[in-house]
Amino acid sequence: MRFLFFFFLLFSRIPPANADIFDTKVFTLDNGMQVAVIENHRAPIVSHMVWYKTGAIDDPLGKSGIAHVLEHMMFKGTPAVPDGEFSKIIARNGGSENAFTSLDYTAYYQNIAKDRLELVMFLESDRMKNLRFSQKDFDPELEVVKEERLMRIENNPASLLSEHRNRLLWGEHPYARPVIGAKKELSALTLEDAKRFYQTHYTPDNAILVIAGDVSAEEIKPLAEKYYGRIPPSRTARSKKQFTLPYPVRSRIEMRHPQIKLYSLQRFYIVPSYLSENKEQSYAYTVLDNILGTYHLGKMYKHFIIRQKTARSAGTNYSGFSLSNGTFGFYITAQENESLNDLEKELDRFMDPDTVTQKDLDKAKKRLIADIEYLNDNPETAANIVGSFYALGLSIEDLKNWTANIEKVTLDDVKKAYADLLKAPSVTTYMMPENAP
Amino acid sequence: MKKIILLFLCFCFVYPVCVKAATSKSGIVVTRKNHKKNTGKTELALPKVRPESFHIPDVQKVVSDKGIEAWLIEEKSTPVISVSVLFKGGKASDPERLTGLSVLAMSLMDEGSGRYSAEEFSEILSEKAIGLSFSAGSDALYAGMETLRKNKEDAFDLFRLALTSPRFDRKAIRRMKEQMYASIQARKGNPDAVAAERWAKLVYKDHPYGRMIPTKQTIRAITRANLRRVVKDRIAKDNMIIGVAGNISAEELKPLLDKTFAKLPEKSRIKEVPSFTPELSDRIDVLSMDVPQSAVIFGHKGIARNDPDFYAAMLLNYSFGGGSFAARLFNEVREKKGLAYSISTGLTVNQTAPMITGSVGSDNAKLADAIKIIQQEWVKMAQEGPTEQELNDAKTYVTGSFPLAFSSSAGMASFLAGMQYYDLGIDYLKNYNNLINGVTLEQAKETAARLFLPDSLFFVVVGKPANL
Repeated sequence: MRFLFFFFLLFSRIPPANADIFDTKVFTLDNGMQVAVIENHRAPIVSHMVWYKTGAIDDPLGKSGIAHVLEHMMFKGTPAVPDGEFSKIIARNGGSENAFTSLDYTAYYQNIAKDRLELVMFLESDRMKNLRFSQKDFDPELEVVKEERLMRIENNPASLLSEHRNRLLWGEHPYARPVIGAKKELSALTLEDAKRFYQTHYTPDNAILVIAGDVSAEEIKPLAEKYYGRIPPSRTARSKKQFTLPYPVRSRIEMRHPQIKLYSLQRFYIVPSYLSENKEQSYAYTVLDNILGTYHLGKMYKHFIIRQKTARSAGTNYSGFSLSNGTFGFYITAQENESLNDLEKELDRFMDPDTVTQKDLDKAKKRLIADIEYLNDNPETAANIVGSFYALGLSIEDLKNWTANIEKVTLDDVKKAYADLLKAPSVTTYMMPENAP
Repeated sequence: MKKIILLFLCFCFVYPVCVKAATSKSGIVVTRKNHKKNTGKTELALPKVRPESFHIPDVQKVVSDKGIEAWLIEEKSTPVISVSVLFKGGKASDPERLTGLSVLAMSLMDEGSGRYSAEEFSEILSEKAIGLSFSAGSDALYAGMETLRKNKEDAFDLFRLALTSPRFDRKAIRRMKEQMYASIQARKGNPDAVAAERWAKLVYKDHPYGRMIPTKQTIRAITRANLRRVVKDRIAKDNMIIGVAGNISAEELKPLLDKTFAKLPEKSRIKEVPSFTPELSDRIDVLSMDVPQSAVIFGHKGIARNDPDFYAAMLLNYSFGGGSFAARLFNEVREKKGLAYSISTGLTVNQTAPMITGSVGSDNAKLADAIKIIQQEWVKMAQEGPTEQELNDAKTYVTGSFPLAFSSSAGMASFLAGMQYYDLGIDYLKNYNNLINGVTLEQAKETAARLFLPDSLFFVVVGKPANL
């Protein structure tokens, strides 16, 4: 949970870093594995991460959830390190570890004292190549993931609704499918499915090693070659992923549920991302998000909470770090006795590109750029940003130029992005108590 | 949004509200040599760890000209300065009919100060990337400030303004009350929140800890005068503790301490919270709610932070249910049987009522099995204590993870405040290794019999469990 919150900050509010701030060195091993080393000498610690350029978008049809189930299986063991020893060894050495699966990528990490770096490099490289698949491990682990689905989705109506929303918004696009897996598909996954996914996607030429902390590229290079460099690449040429967007429609869904106690509405649009077609617009959307959605200062807060007093919370969220298109969302929790229909009409009136001024733009840019230096404080934060950039196929140049590209956004760019939003495909969701009128 | 909602983690621990203090404390650990060898089979395959000595950062006691004291760890390699301030007297000290008072007061500390409106104040902070945070815990109020070194003068000045001159504008009060009404409403549909509320009510009964969750009535009753009173009575010098970490020297810090804190009132006025030991029996309380997975909190009284057996208890909790994948409960309930995704225990070290508590979420159909295993493990730990291997593994984890506590300035600053709050002494970091390694197997077994009390193990279940 803590980690989810962290990623919320990472992707929506804290801008990615400037290379003048991160001291990042990048090189590639002979087998195609990329390595990024970020020096930060504040404490004798390292964040060691391996990112795979695969995630739920690679789940075969009818097998949603398999990328994430495999992530769980990665902790089960290899011939050299069997039976859950992996986590025990890391714990005995004072390390903390975890892993996460998203639509576009999957990552594994350990934070540990620097003098144990080689140990975790051994362990992580071992499971890239030698994972053991046994039915005895798989069966209870699938139950664990089903419990995870209960906790995150079934017990939480807002998550259930977002599953419906994504299906409607994305149609046949892979982003329509839940990372954790659709309920029925998840229950039917097999050991063989996990094994096939592993063999197809877990190869060094599809992975990035990121090490941040009290180390230098010079000392990492021989270790990376020793542990990761000896793993053979897959040799199959990877084609660039092609996505087809759904025919643009606008729809609205309503959900009534006994666990829902407040009235709220959300609207999500499909927009360009940092990697999709029209990716240059992503900078304008980042600025627009700041102009509209910032707490206290954004136009949403001022309009719905201060002036109209019709909402208890209001904001926006641009999610642009994705392989295919991103989303731009609006959310409003209604004040008591406010009708969602009226609020939606008010949102339609509110969404007017001509309301954005040069002053709004200047202030937003200033806010976005001011935070950047903080990223130099904690090495784990740096590893996460560099890792996600590389996993998506962005480069150190994109990191370097981020600030300059934000500076370059003009008022016309923001207005154009805002106007395009009004024409984009969208889904609006209403959440209401069970017995709502 | 899809990133946020769809980012799934493999091992993600969900801490119940009550174990926060314990998890932050168990992060304080010291290392030096301590690499633990691995078990036979895998030993040969693993690269050897050549332990390096770790220079434990020096904690300086800084006293300003006007007598304001702060503990400081100076770290020149970061551009950041973090300040963590703690004022004794939290939610439990709120008057009973005004439950939620300190939470509401803290939510208003950055909603306008001195000559600045809420909006102006936010604008200045965000343009200079200065972060202020205010929150209320059971026993204390927390104020935090984070800034880049280049903006430190402005940052301390704005921090002073927020602490001494919050405006409590009527409009802002109304806004924040509305937000609290909304969260009170929303909690009713969240099984974890309902379980936490039920737990507080049944365990603490009439003690102030039993009535820290506000209702619409108690929030409505709060006046502007009540809010000003919180600041006047509780933000004072005699109940204040300050921790500072980051790129600032003692000499630079001194005048800033005076400017920021010297004008606070000398004396606080805080309602005392009486000590309390919950009397619990081995009962399962079920509150029906129509959700597919039951939310469960369990536990009983614990061991105080200043108890000589506290470190033994901390190691035991680690082996039993604390944050590692090697923990007994994690293995028995999750890994072997697949009965839960999240299960953990923790020590709560509230001053007046220390506890050991855990939480688990399990499919309604499977919960009875999960509870049975937890009960059996509780008995086993009470009777047999940890194995020698478990105790050693716990020690090497706790000592080996010590350097990770220094990964962020904000973490270090609050760590320093915690050290003072629990009276651990300025040499605590240097002593920590010995405190941990000094726990013997015999002491751990005796403490296990003291800490784990199967006859008192109480469960609160929210859901529709079968066979309970």
